[in-house]
Amino acid sequence: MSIRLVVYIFTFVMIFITGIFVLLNNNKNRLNQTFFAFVMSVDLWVLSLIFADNSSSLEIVMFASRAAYVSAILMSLFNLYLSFIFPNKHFRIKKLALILISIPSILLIAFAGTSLVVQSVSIKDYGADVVTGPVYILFFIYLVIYLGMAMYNYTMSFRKSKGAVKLQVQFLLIGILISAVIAAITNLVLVVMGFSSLGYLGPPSLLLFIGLTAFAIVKHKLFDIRAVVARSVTYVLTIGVIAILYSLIAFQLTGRFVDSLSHGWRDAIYVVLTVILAFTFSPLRRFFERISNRIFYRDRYDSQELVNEIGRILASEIDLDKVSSRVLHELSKQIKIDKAEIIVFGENQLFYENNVFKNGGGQISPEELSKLGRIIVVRDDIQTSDKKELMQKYGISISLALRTSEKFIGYMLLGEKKSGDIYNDQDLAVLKIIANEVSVAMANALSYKEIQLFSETLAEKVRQRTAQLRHANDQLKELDKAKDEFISMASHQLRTPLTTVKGYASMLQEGDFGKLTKEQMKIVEQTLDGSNRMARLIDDLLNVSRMDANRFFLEGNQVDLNKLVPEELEQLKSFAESKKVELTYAAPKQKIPIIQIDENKTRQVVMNLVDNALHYSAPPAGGGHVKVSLVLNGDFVEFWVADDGIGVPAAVQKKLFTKMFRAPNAQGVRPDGTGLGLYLVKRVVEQQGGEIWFESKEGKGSTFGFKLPLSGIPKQVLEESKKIGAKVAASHAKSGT
Amino acid sequence: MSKVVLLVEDNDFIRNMYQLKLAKADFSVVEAVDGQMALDKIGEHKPDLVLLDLMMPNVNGIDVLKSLKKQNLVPGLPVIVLTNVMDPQTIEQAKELGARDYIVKTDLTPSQVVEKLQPFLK
Repeated sequence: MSIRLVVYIFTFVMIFITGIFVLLNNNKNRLNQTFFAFVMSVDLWVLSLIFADNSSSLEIVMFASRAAYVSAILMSLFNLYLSFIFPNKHFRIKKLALILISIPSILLIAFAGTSLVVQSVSIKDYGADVVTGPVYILFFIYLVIYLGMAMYNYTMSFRKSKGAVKLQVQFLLIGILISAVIAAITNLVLVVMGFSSLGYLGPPSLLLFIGLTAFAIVKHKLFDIRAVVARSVTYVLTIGVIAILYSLIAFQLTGRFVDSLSHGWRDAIYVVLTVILAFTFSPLRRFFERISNRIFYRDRYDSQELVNEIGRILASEIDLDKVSSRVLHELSKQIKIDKAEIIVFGENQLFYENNVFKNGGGQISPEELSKLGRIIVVRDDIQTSDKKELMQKYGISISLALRTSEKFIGYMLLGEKKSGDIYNDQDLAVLKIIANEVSVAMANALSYKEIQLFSETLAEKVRQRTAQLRHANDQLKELDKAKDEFISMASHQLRTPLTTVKGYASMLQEGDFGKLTKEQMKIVEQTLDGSNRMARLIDDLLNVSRMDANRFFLEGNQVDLNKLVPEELEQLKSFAESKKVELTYAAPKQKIPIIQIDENKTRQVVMNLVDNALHYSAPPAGGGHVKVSLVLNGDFVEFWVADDGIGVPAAVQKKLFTKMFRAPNAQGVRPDGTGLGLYLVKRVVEQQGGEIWFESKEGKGSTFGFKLPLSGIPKQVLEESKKIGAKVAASHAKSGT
Repeated sequence: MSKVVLLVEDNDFIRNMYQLKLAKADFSVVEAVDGQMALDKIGEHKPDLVLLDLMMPNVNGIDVLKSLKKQNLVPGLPVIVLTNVMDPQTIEQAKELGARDYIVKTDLTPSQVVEKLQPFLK
């Protein structure tokens, strides 16, 4: 087992793994496919060298040597292909040209199978020694031209490209240069000069080129120099450990059992070992990667942690301001950047802006922002342009357009890393995720803000309308007050002549102006009734008007109901007679104590209820009987009026106490009723802490009753009444009443 | 000896009515047509009781009450307000100024008014 074989097998496996890795990384990509083809041709070359150098059969060595030349031709061809495609995804030449450049390769492959390239082989102690044929020179020229063309392409790519792409090409070029130099020296120059003993150094040198190119393809945005160093360290350590382990195990094994094992068994062990070691590559690499990360990235952030934290913030906040502030602070804290800014557009205008740690540069305008486009822009990735200048001017390294599937939201702008490092593709991947999440959150926050604004406008409108209503209400109150004052005045004016009518009529009745005839007496009584009724109507009108104007009030008088009720009935006696109604009164068995109520208004209540009963029970519509009674019942005094009149239709009973309401049958009997009486009665009774009720059957009669507490008008009502009274008086004082 | 009642009332027709009834009830009636006259007559005739209207030209009934209170005549002289003004505050004010009772004219007939006076003349 020679060192040469170990190196070859190792190289073969490593190249194979790299090829598969790149292909699996993105097997749809032309670049990856082309690279894979190239790598496989290299591996084929290595494989043929293994056989050429380790076989004792001349035929196998001859075949392997020729296979080596075939694979070298393929290598050159695929390398040229690669140079047309690297570092992009598409070939930069037409298909026809691709076919054309393939033709010389096919021809040469045909020659490679004959003795025109490999004339003869001999087995030396270092391996196969090849004697080249006459066409070998063509092969040589072919290699030089193809390699030259590929180099030209690479160089052009290098010249034209900028930023990270340039670095990609740079990696590849360095790989090519090193590999090409070593390969050229060992496999061409030395072979031509007659030495092929160092040829085995060619394949491993290619590993460098393949490794670097694979790296450039897969990690094409990883242009963070520290990352390169860190990765290099990782790989060197990994490979080193594997190499040492492999050598130790392999040599120990072969050293001990070299004699006891057959040649075939030994090879089998090597193959198994190689496979095992190949599989230990990945875990070892991870292990060293962790170590190198720890050394080179002390301030490295945990991307998962950052994404989680941002997610938490977005889930916990809905306010636009708070969301953006917290996101920006988190970003600048974790990635350690000198500037972070979120700009939100609404209706194509700059709607909202939030930033942290801004370091000069001024405010970027919406027009300038629109130049950045609605995509992700990384300053180092773009060529010199307006965008780049713009980003340099404002110290922006990355511009992330915020957008949801429905609409464009705005921008998240990030400054440079405080460490001076560039954003690597891991950063970008994380930032893309975050930008998407922030976009959705911003859209939500915007909607929320819109709703807030809407509700504010709504609240303002409600305020305005309320003010208008209040104003209108004030005006109405003013009107009510004016009306009340007018009615107050009118009622006073009406009472003056009424005083004389009532007064003189009563004196006529009392005989102050001589004895009257029966006929005269009757007329005087009716005059007196009429004037009393008019006085009550004026009172009703005044009271209802006061209720409307919220100026209704009660006085607290010491009232003896035992006297009050008969007095009122007395006034109605002649009216009852004229209506042919029998009016009876049942005095209380137990005397009613004197209670504090409003005397005048209670008189009105009694008067109204009895007057109603008289009207509606008068024949021929009614039965002509009204029974009034006063009863002491516990803490209350009860007043009852029962009649056998027209009654209240069941359908309208609920409305009976409504202002201005009049039952249809009542309207027939008494077309001139006001509909104010019962309304007032209920109000007065309830205000005094009492209760009113009635029972009625249409056509049969009604019974009305109310009760008042012996404790009199509730204190609260009295106090309230005093306040209202004072107000009324104040306004009367103003208007000069 | 009959009691002297000062009847203060600007409306002739009403004043005559009450005067008639009071005279029938054996009162000696002194009449006044406004507040100023009322005050003069109080000084002149020293009435036992005053029936006072409120709404009168020039010096009104409330002014009369104020003046009487000022002269400290109120405790010895019962003043009964006889008016058609029904505002609670006016009623309150009159009572505060010393009016013994407050009668709304249309509520009572003249004979009922005379009855009301009796308790104040004993």
